[in-house]
Parts: sequence; C-alpha cells; structure tokens
Amino acid sequence: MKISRASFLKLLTGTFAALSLFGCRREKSLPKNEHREVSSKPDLSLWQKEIDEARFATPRPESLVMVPRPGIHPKFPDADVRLGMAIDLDLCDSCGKCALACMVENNVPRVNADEARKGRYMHWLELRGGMPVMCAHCGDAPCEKVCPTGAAVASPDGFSSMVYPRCIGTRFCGANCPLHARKFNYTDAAEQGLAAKFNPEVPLRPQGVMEKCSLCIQRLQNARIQAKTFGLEWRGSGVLPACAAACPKHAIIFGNWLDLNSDLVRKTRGRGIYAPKSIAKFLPAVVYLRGKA
Amino acid sequence: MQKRKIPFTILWVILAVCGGGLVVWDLTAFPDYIYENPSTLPFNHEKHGEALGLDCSKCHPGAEAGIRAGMPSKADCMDCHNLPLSDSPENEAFDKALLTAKENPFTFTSLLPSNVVFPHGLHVKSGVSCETCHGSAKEIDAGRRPQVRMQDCLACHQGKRGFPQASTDCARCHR
Repeated sequence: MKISRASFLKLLTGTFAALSLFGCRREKSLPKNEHREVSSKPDLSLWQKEIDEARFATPRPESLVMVPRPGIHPKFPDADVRLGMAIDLDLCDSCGKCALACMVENNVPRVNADEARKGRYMHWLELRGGMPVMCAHCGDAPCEKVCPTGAAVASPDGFSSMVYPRCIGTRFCGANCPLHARKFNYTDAAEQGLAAKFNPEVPLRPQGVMEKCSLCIQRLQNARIQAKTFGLEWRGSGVLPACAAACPKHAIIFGNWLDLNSDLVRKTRGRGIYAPKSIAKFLPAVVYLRGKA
Repeated sequence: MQKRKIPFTILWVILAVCGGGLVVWDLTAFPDYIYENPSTLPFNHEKHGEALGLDCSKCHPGAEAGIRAGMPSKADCMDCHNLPLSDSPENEAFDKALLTAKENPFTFTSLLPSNVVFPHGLHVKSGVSCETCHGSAKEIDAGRRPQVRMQDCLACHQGKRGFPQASTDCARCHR
C-alpha cells in the first residue's frame, strides 16, 4: 500500500473528526438529579439544637413599619392568585416549632461548625429575636432583578420561585436581598452527613446553589394538581405551608390575598399590617400582624 | 524514496483500537444507552397490553389518575397468575420465575430530575397518551426508555405538538 504523506494526514484528521462527531451523535437527556444517599432516619434533636443555636446568632428582631394590604402582583396584573402569609405577632410566642417544621418539610440541611461560627445557617425560616422571618416574596423583588440566569423568577401565583438547576451560584440575589432571607450552600451538606431526606417530594440542593423559602411550593403544586384532577379551578385554598400547619397558636395564616373569602383576608381585616422596614417598599406578600389598624 | 520501516497497516490497527476505545468509553460513560431490565422476570408488555387489552394503569398504579406511576408488586402479578391461564410453555416459565421472585421484582428509577414534578394524571386527562413519551409496548420491550428533555416539555406546553397549550411558568413543574 502506497500513500503520500499529505493524503495520510488528511485521512488521519478525517478519521478523528468522524470519530469525534460520532461521540457527540446523541443528545444527552436531562442530567440525573440523582436521589443522593443520605440518612433516612435522622436524629431530629440535632436540628432542634441548631435552631436554638441560631437564635443567639440573630438576637434582634426586624424593625417593622406599617404597610398597606398586599394586593395584585405588579408583574402579573391580570392574575387572580397572589399567595402570601400573615404572621400574627400578638399570638406568636416564638416557640420555634415553625422553624423545625420548615426544615423537615424542605430537607433543609444543618451546617458544620465553621459555617455556624460565621452565622451561615441554612434555615429558611429564622427566629430573629423570637420573630419568625422568612422570604417576604416581594412583588418588586430585588433578588429577581439581579439574577443573571433567571433562576430567581416571579411566579404568576404571586410568589418568588427558585429554579435550582438554573442557579450558577453568583450570590447576587443574596447580596441584593435587604432581608438576608436567601441562603447559599457554601458546603456540600450531603457529603458531610448534615443533610437528610425527610421529605421525598423535595430535592436536596447541591453545593453552590442559592435557596430560600418557597412557600412550600411542593404542597401548592400538589394542591393544584389535585384540584385540576377533579376539574376545579385552584385559587389557593385547601393547602397550608409546613410552618402554618405546625404553629400551635395558629399565628401563621396562609392564603390568597386576592380572594376576599380566604382565611388570610378575613383574619387580617381590621388588623395592623406591618412589614420589615428593609423590604417594606418592595410590596411583600408575607406580612406581620400586630394590634388593631 | 526511502523504504518505510513501519507498514501503514499497523497505523490503521492503532487507529481502529482508538476508535473502538472511544465507542466503549461512550457506552460506559452514558450507561442509560444500554438499558437492562434489572428484574429477572421475563415480562412482556406487548403480550399483556395489546394482546390481553390491559390498560397501563392496571399494573402501573397512578399512571392515569395520580401524580406518579408506580411499578407492580409480586402480589399484583399473582392476582392474575393464580388463575388457571393457558398452558403455553412461556406461562409455565413465568410462573416458575414468579415463585422465586422478590416481593417487588420491578424497579424503575425516574428519568426526571428530583426537582421536577410530572403529574401523569393531568397529562392523560388532556389527551397525552402513555405512548407519547414512553413509546409503544414493543419499543418498551426492546429496552427503550423515554428521553426526557425540557425542550420537549416546553414545545408541547407552548402548543407546538398538537396538544392544548399549557402553562410555561417555571414554578408549575420545578420545585
């Protein structure tokens, strides 16, 4: 077999080009968000202990200012659902059951000693001076404005949602949130054995992803699916987030701000509606009740 | 021209080995491409579905009304296989395999990422058949698994695939 140097090189490059093309012939399916092996029977007292520790890290309550009743979401003027919560501070005795229920419902991991020293707890619902503070689901959310990938995005149901696979971990949203309600996975909690899969419905967040209160979106989705299965229009009824369900004093009221017959609207009538001063001008959907209007 | 010491055939052999290596690497790096039924039971979808006229939801609970579709347990198989069925050698082989099978002989790992919810019931209700994503019984028996890509979800939800338009809000499916 006789072959010139030039044609040999051509054949060589051609073969390698063909082989590399063959290698990428198939479109990969979505990355498997593998259900990671974490303890299925965790010791709940460890989580309770961390909540008690975190109380010391945030000893001061947020200063509150009076706000008007939350209404239509500015980005979705035609929507008839604006989900939100009201936390009755006259009833709340800061027992912390909501914080634990939140962690168990949403598989919120604990943090290691290093992170705890820096105050980087992952708690979606924090007790700041005994006052439960979580993401306020602002209508004019400052976090959504700075997200470069659209991972933090407003939902037409009137809350601020988070798409974990889209998050690339710039932490812009956390820096822009005046309430510091967003929590960043600085470490891999599952690897350190600090995460647990309490709830199979909720994914474990990987390292380098921002997370925050989702208003228990899995419960909202399931309620909507159930209503649709029966052929009904879902307007935010028949469901409670974990914190509201766990509150022994029924101080956390969940509902649809635009449904005048909802629990939320009826129970907040005639009450003083307050919001943390830092986010009061961003039209929050999670507000606090205190005294009479 | 000076005579070459190494014949070109050796070079071609090396190239072929490299190419073969690439193919092997590709198949091992993406093992879902060579899907194997992890169960020892020789189950045949075509014989149960098209021949007997059983619905998918008969063995996959929730496939037509629930959020997730499940896999049948051994007891579910025994519901029918306790009965005197036809005396074909296949049936006898299956009954024998059933005797030694585990309580839950069939497993299926969801192809969806764990942060996505796909309500099977609502999709069936709006006219999407099982075959749309899973393929026909014949294809399933041949080892086909549905390729789940968000662009396919979105194309359908935007109304480009002949089904009614649906919500494209992130928070409807992602959690």
